[in-house]
Amino acid sequence: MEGEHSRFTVATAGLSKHFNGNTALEHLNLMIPQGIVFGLLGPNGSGKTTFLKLLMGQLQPTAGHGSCLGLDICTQSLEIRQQTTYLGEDLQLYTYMKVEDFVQFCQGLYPRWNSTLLEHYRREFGIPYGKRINELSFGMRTQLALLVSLAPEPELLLLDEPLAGLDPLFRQRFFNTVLAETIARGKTVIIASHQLNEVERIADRVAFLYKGRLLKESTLEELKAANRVIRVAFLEEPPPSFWQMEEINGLVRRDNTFQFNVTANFETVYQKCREIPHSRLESMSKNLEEIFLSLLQEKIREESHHG
Amino acid sequence: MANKYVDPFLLKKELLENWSKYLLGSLMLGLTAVCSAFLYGTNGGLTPLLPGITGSPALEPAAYTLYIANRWGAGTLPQLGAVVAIVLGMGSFSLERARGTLLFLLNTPLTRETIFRTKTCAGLLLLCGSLLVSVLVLCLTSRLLGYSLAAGPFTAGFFLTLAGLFFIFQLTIFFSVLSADPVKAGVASAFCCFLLYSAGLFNKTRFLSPFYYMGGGTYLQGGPYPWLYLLIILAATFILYSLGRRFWHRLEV
Repeated sequence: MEGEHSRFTVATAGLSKHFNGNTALEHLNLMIPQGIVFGLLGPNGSGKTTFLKLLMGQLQPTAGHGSCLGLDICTQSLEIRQQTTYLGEDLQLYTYMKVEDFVQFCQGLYPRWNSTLLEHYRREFGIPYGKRINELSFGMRTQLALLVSLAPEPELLLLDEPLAGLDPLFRQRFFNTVLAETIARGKTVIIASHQLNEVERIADRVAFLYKGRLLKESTLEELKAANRVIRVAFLEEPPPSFWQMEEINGLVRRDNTFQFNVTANFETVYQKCREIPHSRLESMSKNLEEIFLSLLQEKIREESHHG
Repeated sequence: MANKYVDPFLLKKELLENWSKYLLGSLMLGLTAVCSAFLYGTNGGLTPLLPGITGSPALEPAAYTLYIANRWGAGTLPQLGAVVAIVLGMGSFSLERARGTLLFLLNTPLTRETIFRTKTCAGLLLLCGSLLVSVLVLCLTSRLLGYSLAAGPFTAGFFLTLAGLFFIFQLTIFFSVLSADPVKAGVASAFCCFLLYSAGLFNKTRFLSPFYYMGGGTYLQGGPYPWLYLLIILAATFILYSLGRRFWHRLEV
């Protein structure tokens, strides 16, 4: 178990968290490799923040166990927090402090602090040292929080809806520069978000959570390959055996035009379409949002089917 | 970077954050000390309390010490000191929760134990600081006015007051851990203090009130030193500290 987990930044087995009988996270088995951007996706209340708080040792699991950077999340949370930083959407700072004092305060708390890196990003973000935090705009405060999350050079950076409310220019700069540089230094980033289009641009692997349960976990490439769509206008009715293929689902028909999802063996299904007389045949990849929605619909259908 | 007793950076932040409360508390307590010293001599009701004093009561250190212990040490100081203790303690934890900075603090590499100790330590330092300033002001004013305090009995009485105020501070810390609203924490603590103070007003229940023993009035009037009270109040303070710590460790944010 130890050896297996050491290859992963995060490894959980049956991790569950209940609050007063309500399930926030249920039997989560997740392995997150080192040095990647991992997207944790799901609607509000799906358990993303709970998962991150469990990793930081802020919450104790109701059941199951997990490790973060090879350390036990229940008993070694201090060691985890020495190498991990967390930036949440609703994270508040000490607004009465001057930026300089706040940075000094944070510097004193961490065992490792890269002042050069801090100064580099501070200049890039344009954060003035002399101002009080309450004089900064919301965006600048978030950037300051990000700044002090990066300066300790964490092995693992947890971002919980970090850029909500920030302008698109900064978001782009963050994803293209800051995040890329962090990954280049061999660090791991877990980004929890419901902004699926943004995560799609940066994540190597993604996990979908819904009502505290893991719907799907995969690399982005595998996920897209397994979620392709064919749109075809047949000139004659396809044989019934065509529609009985297991790889086909989500059929939408308008006159003689059909659109359906192909979950596996895409080449085989595509070839079969070509064999049937048609006027138009095209294939598309679903984006992350569409994939998530279809997973969600499938889950809801499954739940209603089971009563 | 193991489990530090107190973190110097957090301690500095706590001291700076509560500096204005400390200044206000010191000013209030200092002013009452000055007023008490100035009012000595205008009160002629002390002589019957001091059968052993043969000289002028106004110039006797024992008489002045007894007057201060009754007027200030057992009266104004515990009452205003309790307010200062409540004001210093009520926001320690609940303010962090109310303004949303607790999550930031908990995500830093500090253990909950270190945070609890550091915050408690900062509050106690400021409380002691306020009390010491007021004592210094009292000594200085007394000297300027030509009165002298009997150092031994006064110090013995002062420790009783200090122990009582530590108890009230720890009570407030306990409520501050429980509540996410500093005002509620303060009100809960003030209500408990009101009940304890009220108990001190009646003969049958006054043994229950820390306010009755504060200042060492009974001891200065010839009674025995209330060691038992001191032990009980220190034990109660420790119990409140342990309870607050226990709830703090269990708190999920």
